[in-house]
Amino acid sequence: MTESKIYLRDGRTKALVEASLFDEATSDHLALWDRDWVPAMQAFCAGKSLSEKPEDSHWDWRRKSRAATGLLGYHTLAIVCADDLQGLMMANDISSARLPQQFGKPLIYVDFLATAPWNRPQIQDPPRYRGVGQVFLLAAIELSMSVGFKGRVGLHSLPDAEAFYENKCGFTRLGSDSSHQGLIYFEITDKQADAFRQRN
Amino acid sequence: MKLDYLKEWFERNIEREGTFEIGAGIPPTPSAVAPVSSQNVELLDTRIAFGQFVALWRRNKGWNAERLASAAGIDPEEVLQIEYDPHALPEPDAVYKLAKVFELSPRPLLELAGLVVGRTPHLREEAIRFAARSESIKALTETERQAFEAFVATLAELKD
Amino acid sequence: MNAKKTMTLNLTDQEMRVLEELAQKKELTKTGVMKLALRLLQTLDARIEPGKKLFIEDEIGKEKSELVIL
Repeated sequence: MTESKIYLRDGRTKALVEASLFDEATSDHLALWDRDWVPAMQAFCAGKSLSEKPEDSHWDWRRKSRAATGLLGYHTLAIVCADDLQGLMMANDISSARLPQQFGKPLIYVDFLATAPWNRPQIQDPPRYRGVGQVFLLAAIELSMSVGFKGRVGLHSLPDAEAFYENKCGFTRLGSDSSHQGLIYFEITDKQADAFRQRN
Repeated sequence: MKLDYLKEWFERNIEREGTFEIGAGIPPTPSAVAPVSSQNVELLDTRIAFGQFVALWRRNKGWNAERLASAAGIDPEEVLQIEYDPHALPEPDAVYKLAKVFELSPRPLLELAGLVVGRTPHLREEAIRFAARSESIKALTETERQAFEAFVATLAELKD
Repeated sequence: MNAKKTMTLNLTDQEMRVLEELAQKKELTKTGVMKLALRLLQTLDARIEPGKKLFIEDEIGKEKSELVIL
């Protein structure tokens, strides 16, 4: 497992704070998910209708992690800051691109990406930290580079994040995917990935 | 895989997140993004009843969720999800194993759980009636006990 | 976990041709292709159990055809 130094922005003070990205989520990280994320999400969701709950409110990260245990093609990453779990991402490197200009070429597909409940404006305002999403996308691109996929990444966006991927990250929208419950599928090319990494 | 970016990169780029809710991935159940059709509402009704039935069955026995899970040979998390989360689709295998412990035919339970198309007449009505009468999952009151026993009798009559 | 082991691979002419074609098509090294194949095979092996099949579905026509699998 490799730990990388990264930075998140404190939602209140706006200062950059040091954090860690782990390229393999451990049982300790999942214990933090269980201990901190689950009750916070349950508390927020209590009494709320289906449309008011976050789309990932009942994701079971332990189960997801267990399903991927031992599989070379699956990667679960974690972000920790101030000893608390701030984000989790699961991605695989056995999927193929769909954009016509890179059709069939291997890419990193982000299976799941979530930030801690207290980092979401919908749940806490101001959120404790911002930047988890950006860091994970950077990590997905770097993972793509490290396995020879030149930065290509694909994902299905949760509805509230579509504008973020398209307008803020430079992903190309490929449209609603009926085999993924109508979620919008996005991809980036090697050139778009380069632009993301430079980002002046 | 190591990330080796200077603080300046984060300084420049984190702002782009703005107030977006960042997430990616397939929701666990169809109901999470599908329009709320009457069929989805029906599924939720019977799944609530299914969850309450499982909870009352084990409480009637004086079992906690772990004990029931152990008897059925499934994860305790699966039991808790069935009892508390009507939006999540239970694993068919788990429902089969619970049916075995309950000594009931699996078919009606699979229908209640929304895993097979409902075709048993009046099952949905019975389930809603049961759910309405057994709302709280604390002490098994006399009302709950009567409701529970009546529903068990209904389910026991239903075969595959 | 990070220690690497070396393996020598003997391929027929045809196998090498296929490997080179895939490498070019996928923009990977030949080693990259072999590693990708390994990861893919492991995941398929883990997911396909008795009673399950792997299908290819036509997104538009909704036709399914079975992928003959090991």
